[in-house]
Amino acid sequence: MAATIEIDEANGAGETLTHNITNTNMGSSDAANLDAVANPIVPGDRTYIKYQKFHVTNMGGSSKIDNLKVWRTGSLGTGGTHAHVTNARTSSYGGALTYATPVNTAVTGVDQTMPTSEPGSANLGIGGSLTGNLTATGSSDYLGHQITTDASATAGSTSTMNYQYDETA
Amino acid sequence: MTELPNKAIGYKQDFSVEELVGKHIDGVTGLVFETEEDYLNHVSPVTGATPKDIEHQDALTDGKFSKVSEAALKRGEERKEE
Repeated sequence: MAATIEIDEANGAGETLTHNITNTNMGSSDAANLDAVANPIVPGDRTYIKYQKFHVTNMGGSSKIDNLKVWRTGSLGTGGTHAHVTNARTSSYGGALTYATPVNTAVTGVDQTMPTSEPGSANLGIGGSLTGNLTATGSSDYLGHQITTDASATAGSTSTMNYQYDETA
Repeated sequence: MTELPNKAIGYKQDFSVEELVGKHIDGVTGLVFETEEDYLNHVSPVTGATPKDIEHQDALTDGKFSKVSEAALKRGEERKEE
């Protein structure tokens, strides 16, 4: 049997945790499973930052989960300048991102460009380290990410977030 | 009135933002739980399994989760042999 893993997201001032999110849509509201159409971004604004994590709910007899990688496939859309920023990075990792009430302004440490292909090595840590691992139920460090736009940005971009882990039997 | 699954205290829309502080929400059903343990042990009304069961994720992803697991195990074994 294999491990069971979900992606969770924290929102709100007191860190309400939504387990097993069904989408990672970004917009003008701090909410899990966001309806992006109902929460559009004003061109020039940032989206509310997302705080998400890998959550092992059951090791399923496996001994280790590690080598967490996140990346986006697909473009951010046309018009203006967009960026997808994150704390995820393959080197000089800043340690575990501390949760704070999500905002739609820049967040310290969430300033790397989200990769658009599979990174060569882990870019999200466990226990504050890229070489960390889970050997029992538990969660990764928080992945923080958000989209920045400028006044020329146009609406309606769709892309795919990838969350990958390795598992050792 | 529909009975709530074991340990669920309601649905997300039944609570204010303040009342949801520190709570655990099932992203698929919107069911709310006081603790993570309560969430992990509840039987999902959608899948008939708990969030700890691989069948739960498979039911939600049309069987794709098992393939994700297989790929993860393969990568883990390949790295072990390096």
